[in-house]
Amino acid sequence: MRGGLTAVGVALLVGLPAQLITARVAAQAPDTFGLGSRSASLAGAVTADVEDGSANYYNPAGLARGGALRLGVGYFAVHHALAIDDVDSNVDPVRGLVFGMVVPGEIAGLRFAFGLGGHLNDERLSRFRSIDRGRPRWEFFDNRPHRPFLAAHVALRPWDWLLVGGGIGFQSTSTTILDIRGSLDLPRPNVDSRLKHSMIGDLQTIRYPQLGVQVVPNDTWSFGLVYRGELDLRNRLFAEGLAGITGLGDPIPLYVLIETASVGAFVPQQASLGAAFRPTPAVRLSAELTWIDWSDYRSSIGSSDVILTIDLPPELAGVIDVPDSIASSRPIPAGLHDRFVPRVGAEVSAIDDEDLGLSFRGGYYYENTPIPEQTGFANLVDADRHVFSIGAGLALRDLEPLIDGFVTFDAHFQYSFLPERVTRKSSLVDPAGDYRAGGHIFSGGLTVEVGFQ
Amino acid sequence: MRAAAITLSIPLAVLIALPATAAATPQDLFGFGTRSPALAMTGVAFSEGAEASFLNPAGLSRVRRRSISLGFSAAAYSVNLDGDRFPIEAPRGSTIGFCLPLPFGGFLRDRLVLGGGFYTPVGVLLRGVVAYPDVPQFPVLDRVQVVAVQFGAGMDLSGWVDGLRVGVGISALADLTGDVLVRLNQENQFVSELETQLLSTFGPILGVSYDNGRFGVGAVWRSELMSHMGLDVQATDLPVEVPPLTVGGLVQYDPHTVAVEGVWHATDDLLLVAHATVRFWSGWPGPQQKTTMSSDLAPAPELSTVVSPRVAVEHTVRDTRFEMRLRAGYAFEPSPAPPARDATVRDRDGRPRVEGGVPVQIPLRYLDNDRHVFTAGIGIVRPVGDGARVTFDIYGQAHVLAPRDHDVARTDGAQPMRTTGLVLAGGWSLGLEF
Repeated sequence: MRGGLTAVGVALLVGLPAQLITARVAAQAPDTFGLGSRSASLAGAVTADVEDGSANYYNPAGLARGGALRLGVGYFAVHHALAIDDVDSNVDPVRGLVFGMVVPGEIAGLRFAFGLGGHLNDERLSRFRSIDRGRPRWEFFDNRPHRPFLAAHVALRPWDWLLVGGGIGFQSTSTTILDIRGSLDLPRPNVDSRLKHSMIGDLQTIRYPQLGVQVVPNDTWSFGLVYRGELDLRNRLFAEGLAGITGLGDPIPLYVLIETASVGAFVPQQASLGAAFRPTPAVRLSAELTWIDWSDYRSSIGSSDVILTIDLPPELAGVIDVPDSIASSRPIPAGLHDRFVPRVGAEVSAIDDEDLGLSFRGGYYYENTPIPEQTGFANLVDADRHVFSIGAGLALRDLEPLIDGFVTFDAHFQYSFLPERVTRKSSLVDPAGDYRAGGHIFSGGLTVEVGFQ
Repeated sequence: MRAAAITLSIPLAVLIALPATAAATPQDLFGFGTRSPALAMTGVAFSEGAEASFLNPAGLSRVRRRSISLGFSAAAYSVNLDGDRFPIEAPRGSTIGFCLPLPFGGFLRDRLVLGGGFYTPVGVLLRGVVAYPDVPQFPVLDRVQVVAVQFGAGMDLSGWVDGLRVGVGISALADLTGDVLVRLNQENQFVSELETQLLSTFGPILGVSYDNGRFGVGAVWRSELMSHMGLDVQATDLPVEVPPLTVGGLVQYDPHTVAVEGVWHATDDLLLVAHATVRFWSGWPGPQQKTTMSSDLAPAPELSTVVSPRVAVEHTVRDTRFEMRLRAGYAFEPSPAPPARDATVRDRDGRPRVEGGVPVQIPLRYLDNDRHVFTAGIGIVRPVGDGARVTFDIYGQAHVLAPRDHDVARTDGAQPMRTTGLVLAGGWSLGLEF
């Protein structure tokens, strides 16, 4: 019995409802695997000249680049083959719908556009899974892609050589107030316990900026710069429980007060600078560098303060042990460092007729892990990542009278190689011990876009 | 003109970015958009633009220009319980709408239009409140702190049946569910493992309308739309057995709704509207759920299906430089809730709980009043060149709560409760059609 009620108090009334509205994790699928098949096959090196629906992620300035009304939709899937000590980590696959919309316009000579784009997982909008911090977990792949990305932007083209775009990203954080009352029957808890609860749960809005610019000095060169703001979703819980423990004579008052706060999601600010070069009309080359501010990472391990009081009659003092106090917990700095991601992409147009187009693409980018070696109690698993992508696009341009424009079909395949990383613990009695982590990730997708001139 | 276009684009750029995460009910209470709320929440037979994505997606097919609009709406509550002001947080939020005629050729020319509308509260995306049933609460009025998302598509069937339009749309909400396992870890400490999921829920909207230039009719069905928050808690490795807990409840609810409407263009400048909305509130199960398998259920809320009649008028004043539309309307919103009363608690299986042959009753303090809704508004349309137009609409509403006497007191020994009040709402929108 000793510790039982402590556990009941802490587990039932403390840490559990605390997470009721905290299904948020760091970043989203486009950060990890790209958005849209054309841009993904170019390794995301499209900041300088993107103009399709994926501009809603890569660079909103590109929305005003073309003159076509574009509506795109596609599907995307990821399979993880990640292992720790050669044992498959069973990281969930990611599958989802991608979409993008570009609506251009012109008034009094000013070209502008607005756009919508996103990624929606097909099994759920988002999923968050927390485990014991001591258990090894792939920090950037277990939770990270399992959340939606949705964005809308406006872009202007005040001069032919300059495009600017921006919007406000939009996410939510949560605050929960919980009250539990009633009776908790010890002899027959499943039959005679009559607990009830009330709750106020707020999902509060958080806005963060997304800004981009493209500079087009001539038909050969194009440059782009984009900035995405930081997103820090803090979740708070205030819970109060007042229950009577029954089954041991007169009801025994139990009072619990819990206050917790945690960072359920952290998306670092990032900036990307890129250039695209067309040595001939049929060849497009691009390169860019992305800075990601992982050093500002906020630990997902939260803080908590707990008060537990049970007014035990003296005759039960030996039956139920009530702790004098429950230690508060505070987050541990994760110690991540910034990441610079180089990207290159190439596209070759094999056919470029009035009624048909066919292109082949390839790309590569490298992500060094921002997570330091986990020598202590924490086990945030990650490794460097080499990403190779290929793709192809087919454009149908002779569709009148139904469509004065085009329909494109783009497909891509992406392979990620994570070379094995060895973690050596500083303590010989560390529960997790030393381990090796690495593996492979396979992803691919298909996007269809209709463009109206 | 170029400066004006840039000026208009700046707030668009700043405010447009809103994703669709979850949705529902402010539009059920105050209407959606800015034209319809000024016309007593009508629009099933004549709506066009982004607000048609909720009112009747068939109306989207009237649109011939791409458009985007931004706006703001707010309300102020003065609801009284026994003469004391009852605290209901007033909603304030931004609105965004867009319409996108699809420029197909051939047999699809000028037929298909997509549209969407969003409302985002300033403070919260979603407020889920699950109160004890004996705590005074306004379950119908106090459910507006939630984001709203509507998408629709309308199709003009002229040529096959001139004047006939059909549409389909969705309203979106989200369920938040999860599981928690409490266990001993390797260091013999109690820890919790959590998995939560955000699942989208959709309520379809189907609509049809017909007009011959002078008369028009429309009908729409909006599906029930619900949002749950819930977390199942299981504890193991404990010295005592703890019952599984479920925390949460039904935090947002829109009932099945059917609306029919007729309009008469008495002159080229005068529109008269008659409307009826049926809300099937009888399907509302109440917000509470059992905390444990052996916990009692709250008494059944026993709400009723209600019919809301509405009338409205719109007069257009035309000038060479602009159009001004003057709007007014009235709606009667009957309360679906019976008076607050003593009601029988239900046992774990939903049967009336009886102890010693006597039903166990508690005060069920769900409060609501009939509402008389008076609305007015103005709309201005001004061409800005290249076939583009700027629109500005503003509206106001006064919801007068008819005084109501309830069957139970606020506290033991007091007089039965009496509820009265006034709700004021208003908003504006600025749009660009191009």
